[in-house]
Amino acid sequence: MNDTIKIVCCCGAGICTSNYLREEIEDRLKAEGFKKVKVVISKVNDLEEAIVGADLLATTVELQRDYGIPQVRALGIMLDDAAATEALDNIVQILRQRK
Amino acid sequence: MDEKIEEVFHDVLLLSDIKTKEEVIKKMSDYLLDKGYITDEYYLATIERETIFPTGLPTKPIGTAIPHSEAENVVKPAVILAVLNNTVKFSDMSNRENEIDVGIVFLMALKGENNQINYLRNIADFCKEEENVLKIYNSKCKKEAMVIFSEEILMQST
Repeated sequence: MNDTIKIVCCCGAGICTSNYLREEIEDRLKAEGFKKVKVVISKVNDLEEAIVGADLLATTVELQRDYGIPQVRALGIMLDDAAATEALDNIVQILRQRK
Repeated sequence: MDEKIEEVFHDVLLLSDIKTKEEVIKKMSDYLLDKGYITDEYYLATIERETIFPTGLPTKPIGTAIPHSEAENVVKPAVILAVLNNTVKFSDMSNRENEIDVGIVFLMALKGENNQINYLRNIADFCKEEENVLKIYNSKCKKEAMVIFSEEILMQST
């Protein structure tokens, strides 16, 4: 079994908010002591491909469907520190329960 | 393979009497198109994306927007700032039902994850503070806005 955690961050273009989210997640998971973490970014249209083997999907936009893995909505995290903390807490919790 | 890190072009436009978000995006896109940074498709792709995934940020006291489109419409990376003398409506990134009065627009023409600076983080961090938003919105001239843009937003240590 692959013990590297794979997280996909997604947004509309796969350039902006997903990249922002990726850094937030990487910083937080590092602080929480997670070791092997791979965070990739994707645009919504490429999600099918990007989520292969992923443990968690974090999104800054509304998604129309379920991708069969835990999904965390991180809307508004750029300006709203409370929302950011909540989304990151949620991600940490999901990853802790993994396996 | 080209080893050199591609430099990102930065500039500031002061725009007057703009009425719609389409008009702002058009002016900014045309500016970059003229200089060869984006393709013909960039403008329409960005408008289309804006409709599906809006980019308005409800900063105080004036809203900010960060329109952009996919990497394939970008020839050379650029991030330019437009400061308006009025506001136009953009939809809120986290709730498209909510319209924001935007006076500051960052148009991003980026190629993807291999960017040295996380522009969005720098912009969001800067624009979280009301005094920063006002400072940039009240810039009297292009030079003043450019100094704030390059020294206070782009050069922020992360």
